[in-house]
Amino acid sequence: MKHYKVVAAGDVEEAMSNPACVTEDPRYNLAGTHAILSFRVPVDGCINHEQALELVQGPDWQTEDEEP
Amino acid sequence: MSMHGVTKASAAALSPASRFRTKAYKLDGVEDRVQMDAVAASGVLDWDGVKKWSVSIWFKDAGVNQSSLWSMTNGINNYRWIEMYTNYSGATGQVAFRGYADTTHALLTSGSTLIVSSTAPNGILPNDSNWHNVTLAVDSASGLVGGLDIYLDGALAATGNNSTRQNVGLDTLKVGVLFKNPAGAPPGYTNNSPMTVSQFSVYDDKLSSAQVASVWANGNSVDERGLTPAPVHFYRFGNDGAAFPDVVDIGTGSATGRAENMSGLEVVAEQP
Repeated sequence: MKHYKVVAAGDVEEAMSNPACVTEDPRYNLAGTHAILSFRVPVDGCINHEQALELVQGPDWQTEDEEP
Repeated sequence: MSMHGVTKASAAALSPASRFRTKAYKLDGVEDRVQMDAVAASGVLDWDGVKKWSVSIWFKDAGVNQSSLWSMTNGINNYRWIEMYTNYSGATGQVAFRGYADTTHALLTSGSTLIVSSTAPNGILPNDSNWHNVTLAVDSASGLVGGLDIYLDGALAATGNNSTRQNVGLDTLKVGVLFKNPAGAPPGYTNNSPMTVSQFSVYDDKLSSAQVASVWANGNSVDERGLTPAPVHFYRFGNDGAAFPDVVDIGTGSATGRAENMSGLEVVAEQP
């Protein structure tokens, strides 16, 4: 089971230096301001998988493209 | 038998491979994906007016809107990408293709998107908890009527007509995510799928109905190396002795992939 945390873009590198971080190449929100990272163990401010899945289905993270 | 004829391998021929086809990847739908860029680099899958190709994927869908089965893109910010995905409208499920030559032009005459609803003939409900196979078969000839076929569980479900646009130089292939890589921003991963995905294969020809039926094999994934034609690139995620997260190509193409942002706990003992 992975634990997830939303991190400001400027803090991603530091967060990924945590040895418990699973993420290798982060997924950012559409604005590029935040990334979601995963960890093998709980970390401060983390959310569970269900919460993370719901988050990334929101309009800040998910896209539906216009028909050309 | 003709060059494009179908020969289903005998049970004896399949048995060595079937012994280790026991696993799959359970993607989290948040950040997981399988990076298959070496397949894109092999050049088999360009939409260049000449090439013919097919892509087959076996998966169990979780029922989340806009879930990408696989996508390819050109790394330059020119909005040049193709995708197969699942989607839902109430209780109706969809399997669909999207293809863009650029921001204002589609690869099909009908537009960028070709959708097969679960209520259509040969449609499927992707999240019915069963394993499904989606095969996209393409002849990229400019303006070709019937250049694109979508097969669902081995049956032809939709046909599209090519526009005169092309989509050359696709240099990434990702399973389980839509990747668009807009310039000036972090890599554009979105629409991650929380699917379980088992088997993925790439052919350098547009498969016929009979050939796709052999890939489907009545819902039992087979060692496609025993089919004619055999896949150029062939993967059984979580199997084949690869050191996770490497994904070994057991086709003829030697294009190694990689499970990205995944832990070994996301390798599950499931198979179609």
